[in-house]
This record gives sequence, structure tokens and C-alpha cells, in this order.
Amino acid sequence: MNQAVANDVPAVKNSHGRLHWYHWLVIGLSLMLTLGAFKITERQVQLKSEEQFEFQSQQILDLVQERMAKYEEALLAGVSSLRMFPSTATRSDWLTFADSLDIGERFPGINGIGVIHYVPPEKLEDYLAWQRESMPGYNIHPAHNEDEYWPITYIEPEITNTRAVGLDMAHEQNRFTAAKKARDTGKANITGPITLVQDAQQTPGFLFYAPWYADRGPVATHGDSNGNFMGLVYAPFIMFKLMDGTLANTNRLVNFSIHDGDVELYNELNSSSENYDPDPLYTREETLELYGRPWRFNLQSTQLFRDQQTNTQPFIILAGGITIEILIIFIFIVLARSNKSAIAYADRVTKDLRAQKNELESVSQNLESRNHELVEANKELDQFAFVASHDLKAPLRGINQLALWIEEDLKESLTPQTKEYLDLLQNRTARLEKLLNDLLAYSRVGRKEGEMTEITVSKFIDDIFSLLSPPDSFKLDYKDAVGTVTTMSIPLELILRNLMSNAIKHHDKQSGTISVVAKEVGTRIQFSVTDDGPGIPPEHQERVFDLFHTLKPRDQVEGSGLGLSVIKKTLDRYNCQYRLISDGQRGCTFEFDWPFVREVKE
Amino acid sequence: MTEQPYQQVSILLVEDDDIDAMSIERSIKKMRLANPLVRVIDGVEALAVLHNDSIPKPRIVLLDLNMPRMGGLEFLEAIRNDEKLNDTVVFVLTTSQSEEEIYEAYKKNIADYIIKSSLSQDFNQVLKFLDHYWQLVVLPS
Repeated sequence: MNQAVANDVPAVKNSHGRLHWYHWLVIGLSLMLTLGAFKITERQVQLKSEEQFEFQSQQILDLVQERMAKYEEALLAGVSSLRMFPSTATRSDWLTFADSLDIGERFPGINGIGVIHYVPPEKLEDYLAWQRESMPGYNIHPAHNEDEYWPITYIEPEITNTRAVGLDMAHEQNRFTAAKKARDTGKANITGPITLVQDAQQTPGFLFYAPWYADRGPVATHGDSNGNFMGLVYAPFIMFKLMDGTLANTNRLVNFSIHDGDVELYNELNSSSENYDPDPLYTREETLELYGRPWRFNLQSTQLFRDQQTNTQPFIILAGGITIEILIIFIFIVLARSNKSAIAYADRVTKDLRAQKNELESVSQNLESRNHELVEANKELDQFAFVASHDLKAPLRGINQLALWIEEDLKESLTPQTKEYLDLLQNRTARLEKLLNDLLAYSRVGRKEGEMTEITVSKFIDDIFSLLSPPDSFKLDYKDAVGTVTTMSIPLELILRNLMSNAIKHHDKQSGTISVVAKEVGTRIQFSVTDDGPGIPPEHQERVFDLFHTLKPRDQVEGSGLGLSVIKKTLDRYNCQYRLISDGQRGCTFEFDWPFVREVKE
Repeated sequence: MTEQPYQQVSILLVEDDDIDAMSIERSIKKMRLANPLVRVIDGVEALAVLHNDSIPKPRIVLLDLNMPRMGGLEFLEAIRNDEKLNDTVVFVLTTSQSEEEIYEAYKKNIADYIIKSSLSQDFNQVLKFLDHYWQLVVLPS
């Protein structure tokens, strides 16, 4: 069993102190949760940011379209005013209109608003003559090979657009194409990218045309032959000015560029722009069909956008999650360690306990077997004493009988001397018989449990004394404070009889008094038997309890020396305390306690 | 009272100790009793003589308890289970004062348990008692 335990322990130890699969499962699952939470949050943030970008970029597109629509309105207003003026509206008429329109204030970004007259070749002379009335040096420029003329006649404010006055749209393809398209479709149109003649910086720009139709019949100076198409109202735009007017240029979240075909119209996608992000989070390309031209918008998020959108939430979640993972792992390790040490401690304690238990078991087994041996030995001893004394009696009887017969048969011829020898022989055999009887009594003590009987202590003492047939000169004096009790009367009688008989037998005077006192002390009766004999000297008090020990030669006082031994054995058997009190001068008291039960009378 | 001639009671003494046996014989002689006495040394011999009818009836058995081969209690057991002998009147005559033995013996229907208690006492008293006994008592024949 011990070996099995010793073998078990290391095997158990090996499987502890490490993280188990379920630890790893928990760690893995929570890691997945963390990563999932991170991904979801990140995705949400991204979606939100995307939406934001979409919204912002859409806003720019809408703004540009709105602004263009507003300019179209201005042009259409121009057309309307022309239709209200006489067909040959003059420069000053246009000035009146332009002033009332108040373009500088109400249409920021617009470079001017003007009128282009359609002049077929046959009407050129009249046209030039008409214009030279109000502007003597007026001329159409530059020269070209087309057979019709689209000169810018009026432009307000004229000061900033002087160079445009008299400029013929037909001289250049972009301007000419858009002009014809506006005429043919009857709708507002813009030109492809051009450089305005009035722009000293030579930056990209375009013209915005609205066709001018009239129904007042043909005019000599301009318009087609049936007097329907008269020309265009137009506005020149310098791209960057337009955009400056359109958009607030600070704190923008989106930067963009505009291309018409391959030609760049506007571009703020460079490091000179505020908040330019060389590596934008989002980009978007959108082509708007704007008044006949496809404008390609390239929009991208700015640095400011990035700064605003940089959301740390997912990373906080990730970092928090990972911190928790590390803590969990740490806790698991600590737990596993403490578990290991707890198991090791428990193993050790268990082992110790088992060892102790085994030890105790073996001790107890030893004790048991020792006890058993002792019981056996005691039994054998008693058996031996019983058998020995019994078997010794038979030959003793024989000897006694034979001595008796010799005495009977030789009665007449015996000498006094021989007679005395025979008497001594009989006396010694009688003494031996007494010894054997007492030895038998001694060996019988404890062979049977005492039976419980009810006694009245005073009567009990008196009866024992009477049965001893003491000489009349001996008196019994008893004090009974106990009354009637239930107890083992047979061994008690044996003790009291032996004590009283000793008191009488060993008395050195002719008369004497034996006093017996019985009182209740706790759960026991305390007896004391006192005589007024010679007492027992203190130096002998220990040995009087020994087997066969007597204080006087047996020829003086007959006795087996077993009386007190029997008392001692009996009292020991019932765990009774006893003591002998004597000064060795006079008197002797023997005290002992005795168990009893008091019957409760109803 | 009775017309039958007085029939002497035979005694079967089962005793291993010679001196005890002599003591009984001596007492019989001393009291001038005419009862025939047969002595055997143990239960085995006792059963044998009882079975071959060598002891005439009426008869009594004086039985010691501690004997070699077959003791007194075993002998009692044997005759009480024997149809032919189970009416035998038995007196136990022994040194044993053991209560168990007294109890066991009486359970096997003995007539009396006599203890050879004192050494000085001879068997005169016992024989006197027996003499009275069989003069008063009718024994199975």
C-alpha cells in the first residue's frame, strides 16, 4: 500500500503546474472576442468615416453644380434683358443690366458677363459700323478662316476685361464649338478648357454660354437670316477664382481636382494646399456632365479629415483586450502554480497522514495482539492455577487418608512421639489444602462478572461478620450512611470477609473491635474497615499484597498469605482505589471504594 | 410392608484414585455393610461392566468427575443417551467445587453431588448417608 502511494505521487505531479487545454481555450476565445470587437469597431469607424467622406465630397460636387446653376441663372437673366431691350441694345444698355445684376456681390467667382453677337459675313460691315458708333476703335480680332463671326461685343466690368472686347469666338476651336453647340441645342453650354485672354496669369478657365433667341424679325447688324438667333450671353471664368468664390477654402475635409478630358482645370491636390494629405484615406472619382462638358472630379480626404477620423477607439479596445489577455494568462499561471503547490502540499500531507495512519494501525495491531496475548496469558495463568491447585489436592487427600489410616490401625502401639509426628503431618496437609483452596479462590477472581443484586449495606456487613463465627469477645461496630443499593455483592462480600477475618485472625489480644464505615462519595461507596489489632508496619505495607506473603510464621497464625492478594486482584479488576493506613503500633485501616447503582424507587 | 426379601444394593464405584477407592472400601468394611462393591477406574470400564450386566440391580453408581479416558460428565452423557442405562441412579463424588461442573452434572439427572471437601473427613458419613438412602428409597430394578 505504501509503495503504491509512493508510485502514485510523481505521476500526479507531472500533470500539474502547466496550463491545461481549457486554459488555452479560454485565452483563445477571449482573444477572438477581443479581435472581433476590434474588427467590428474598426469597421464601424471606417464605415462612419467613409460616410463622412462621401458626404463631404458630395457636398463639394453639389456645391459646384449649384454654383454653376446659379451662373446659368445669371446668363439667362442676361438673355431676358436682351430680349426686353431693343434688338440693337447698346453698350450702355448692357452696363445698366450688369450694374443691376451686381455680379461682384451676388456672383462671386464670375469674371464678368457679356454679350456675343452672331455676325454672318454679309452683316459684318453693318455690325462694325454700328459698334463704332459707341466705340470708334472697335474691331474684331483675331483673324481666322471661318465664314462667320462671334465677337464679344459687350463685357462688364469692361475695365478688367478690355482685352476680351472684340474677341471672335470663331478663332479658336473650343470656344467656337461650344458656341455653335449652344446655338444648336438652345441650351447653356460651357467651353472646353481655355486660357482667358484677359488672364495675365494664363491659368485655366472656360466660357459659359447661354443662347439668345429673339422673335422680332431680322436685324441688319447681327443675327441669322430669319432673325431668330441673335447671339450669346456669356461669362468667362478663371477656374481658381471660381473655386475660391464657390468654396470656403479653410478647414476643408476634402481636396479635389477637376479635369476636362486630359486638361487640368483645377488642382489642389498638391502640397501647397492646406491640409493636403499625400496618402489620403479615401479617394473618389466622379465625372459630372456639366453644360456639355464632362468634368472629372478627383476628390480625396485631407490631413484634417484624417486627423478628425483617426479614431483610437478600436485600438483602445484592442489594447485593453490584449492587456486583459495578458492578465488572464498571468492569473492562470499563478493559479496553476498555486494549484500545483497546493496539490503538492496535499500530496505531502496525505502521504504523511497515510504513513501516520499505517503506523497507528500497526501500533494498534501490535497493541491488539499484545493485548490478546496478555488476555491469553492471564487466562492460561488462571487455568494453570486452577488446574494445579485442583490436581494438587488429590494426592494431598491421599497422603492425609493414609496418615489417618496409619493412626487408626496403629492406635495401640503409637508412642506419644509418633502420635505428635502424625498430628504434624495432618496439620501440614491441612495447611496445604487451605493454601490450595485460597489459590483456587484467587484464580477464580475475574473468571466471572459479578452479578448485580440489591443489598442493604448495614445488614450485609453484619451477616458477613456473623458468618465468620468470631469469638464472643470480638465486636462489630458499623456506620452505614448508604442504605440500600444495587451492586456486585459477591466480590464485595469476598473483600469484606477477608478483611474482617484478617482483623480477627491477626489480633494480638483476646478481645477486639472491628469498625466498618460506609459512605457515599460521588458515584461510589467508600468503605473503611478498621481494627484495633497490632497494625502493619509501614515498611511491610507494600508487600502484604504480594501472593503468599505473611508477616508471621504459619505455625503461629494459620494463613495462606492470599487474603490481601485476592482483595487487591478484585479491587484492581473493578478499577477501585484502595489504601492501607497503619502506624505499625496499633490499629489498621483499610479503605476502598466500590461501584454501585442506586435504584430509583417509584 | 413388602413381602420381597431385602435385596442388597450393588455399588459401582467409578474412581481413578486408588486411595479414594480404598477409602470407600474401608468405610464399608468399618460400617459392616454387606453391599457388593465393584470398582472401575474410568467411564469406559464403567460402561463396559454396566453393559454386560455384571452389576446386579438394584444398583447405584458413585462417580468421580476427573478421570482419564472418559470423565464423569462424558460417562453421564453416554448413559443418559443409552436406553438401557438411562435409569441408572448416579451420585457424583468429587473434589471439584466448580459451579459449571455442578450445574452440568445436575442437568444430566444425577441423584446428588457430593464434594469430598475436607481431607480429614473420611467417607463414613457418605456411606452412612447412602445406607439411609437406599433403605428409604425404591430404586429401579
